Amino acid sequence: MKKHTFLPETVRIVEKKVFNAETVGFKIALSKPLIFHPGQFVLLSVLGFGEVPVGIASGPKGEKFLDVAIRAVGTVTEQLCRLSKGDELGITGPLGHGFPMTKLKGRDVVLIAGGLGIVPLRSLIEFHLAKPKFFSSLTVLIGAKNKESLLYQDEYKQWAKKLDLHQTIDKKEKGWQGTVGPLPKLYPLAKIKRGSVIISCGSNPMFKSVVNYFAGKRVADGDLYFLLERKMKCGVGKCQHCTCGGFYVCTDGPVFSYEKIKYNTEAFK
Amino acid sequence: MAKIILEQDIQDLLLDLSQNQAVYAPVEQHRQTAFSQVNFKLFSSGDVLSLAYPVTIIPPKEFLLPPQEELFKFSGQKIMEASVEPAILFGLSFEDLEGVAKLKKIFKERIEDVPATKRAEKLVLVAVDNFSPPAGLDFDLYLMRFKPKHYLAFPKSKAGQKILKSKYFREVSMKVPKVTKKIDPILAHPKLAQIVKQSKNHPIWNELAEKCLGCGICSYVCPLCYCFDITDNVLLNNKEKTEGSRCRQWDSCMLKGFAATASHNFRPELKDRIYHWYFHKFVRMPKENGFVGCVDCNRCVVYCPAKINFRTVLGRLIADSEKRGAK
Repeated sequence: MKKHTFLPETVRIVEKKVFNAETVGFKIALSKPLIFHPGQFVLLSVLGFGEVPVGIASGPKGEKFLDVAIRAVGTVTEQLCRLSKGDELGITGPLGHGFPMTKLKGRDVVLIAGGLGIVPLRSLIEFHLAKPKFFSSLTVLIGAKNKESLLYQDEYKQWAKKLDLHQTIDKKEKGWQGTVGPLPKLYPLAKIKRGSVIISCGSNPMFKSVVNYFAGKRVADGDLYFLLERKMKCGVGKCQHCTCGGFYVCTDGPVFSYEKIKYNTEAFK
Repeated sequence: MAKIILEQDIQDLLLDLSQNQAVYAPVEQHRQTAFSQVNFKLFSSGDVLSLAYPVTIIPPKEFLLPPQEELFKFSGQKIMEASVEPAILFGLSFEDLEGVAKLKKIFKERIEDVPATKRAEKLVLVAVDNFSPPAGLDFDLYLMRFKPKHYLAFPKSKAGQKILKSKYFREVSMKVPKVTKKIDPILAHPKLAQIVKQSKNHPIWNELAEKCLGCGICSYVCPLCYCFDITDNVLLNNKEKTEGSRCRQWDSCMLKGFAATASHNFRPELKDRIYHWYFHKFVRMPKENGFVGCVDCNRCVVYCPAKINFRTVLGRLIADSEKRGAK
């Protein structure tokens, strides 16, 4: 019998991290190991409430666990955030195309994350921690509105040993000794070399600032990548909610090179 | 030898077929034709089988993608898949056959939409029209009205052959007539996709946004509009655990919230949503599926409360593009 396109698999939460009042992270135990590429996403479902797309936050280590992070912004995400360790939820995926891994081999890679944007990029960071020689170098620039919105900060110390990490928060805070100001303040810290690749995930204004600073001058259009967000309802290119010009964000993306979306009037809307 | 059937026998043929499986046919009720399930009660209540009808309001896409459908039921964390019963869909017009066959292709291609293709596989399609059967489209049986009240049968599958075994079909020897359906020159325009694609900044989209109510009826009545939303419905009778179903229902890209997530609306302006509707039908569908997303059934023109006609819109875009090209 053919597998039903929209049937979620039941999985269990084995660990819950509360990042701040509105954001939580889950470690999910899968019934069978999931083969996925960094940058892909899954649909998480709470029966009785619905389904939402979320980026995969863990690296593809072939384990039976998957990390995700959720911010309570709507009905389903609010319900997801209420779940605790031991609770069950539904999962569909992996869906979409991830980062162009073969192309990234041996390159200097810069990740730029705004707020929740660090979640799918963490899959690449974990990949790098497991295979530190795959990229020539890895730089990570993270910006958040305040200190508690810097997700996965308990891991930064470990990350900093194997990659070049820079963080900034929007406003000065007690106990914060790092950079203060908007994310673009960190852009000059990215040591762009010939052949560097930039991958960014965040809001549309942030994307525009990345284009303004890096595109054309420092990095080729084909080496500048964006993770687009849309209302992805079905995840398989049918329901039409996530279309962006001529593309489906779910099946053609969510990772797009600037070369591909440069003239797409809906990309950064 | 060809097989024909007379109009007077069709109602009995349908009643015969309905003994074994569900049969849906166009039936006139309250001066409107709709696909209804055939049974003795239906015809004895005064409703009439209607084989030459102006379009039904709701296109037969409802048999592949019902207005509301249960994708699965759940009880606690237990999930139960819904099953689909086979059915004969009788009396599709040429355009509606085209619509169903193309929609089947859309759901099958790229990543398969299994609930929709499962329905499609269980459907026997029987079309009735004045034209010769369409080339390159899947159907089971095509009945061509070659003279008033006389229908010539063109079977295309085993299920179609099986229907022809009925006593109501008779063998005759006759020359098979050829009546080709003319395609609207606007829809057949070789540069239509390119013209619509390049029209994003044309003033027409602003003008349409002034008139259009953004109600989405053009999507609901379109045989090839298939966008949907998925929501969970919960029953309130079980206090022990959550019981209900995950349902999908028709949506429309014309509605304001269509592209809105909890934090951002990616297509808040009506003019962009109208452009997007045309862009999907006349640019993306030819690229993704190999055909224009319109079967020329005229439903969107008939039911638009603002009297917007896609032919006028496309005609103007084509004319303006040709004017520009001539300069």
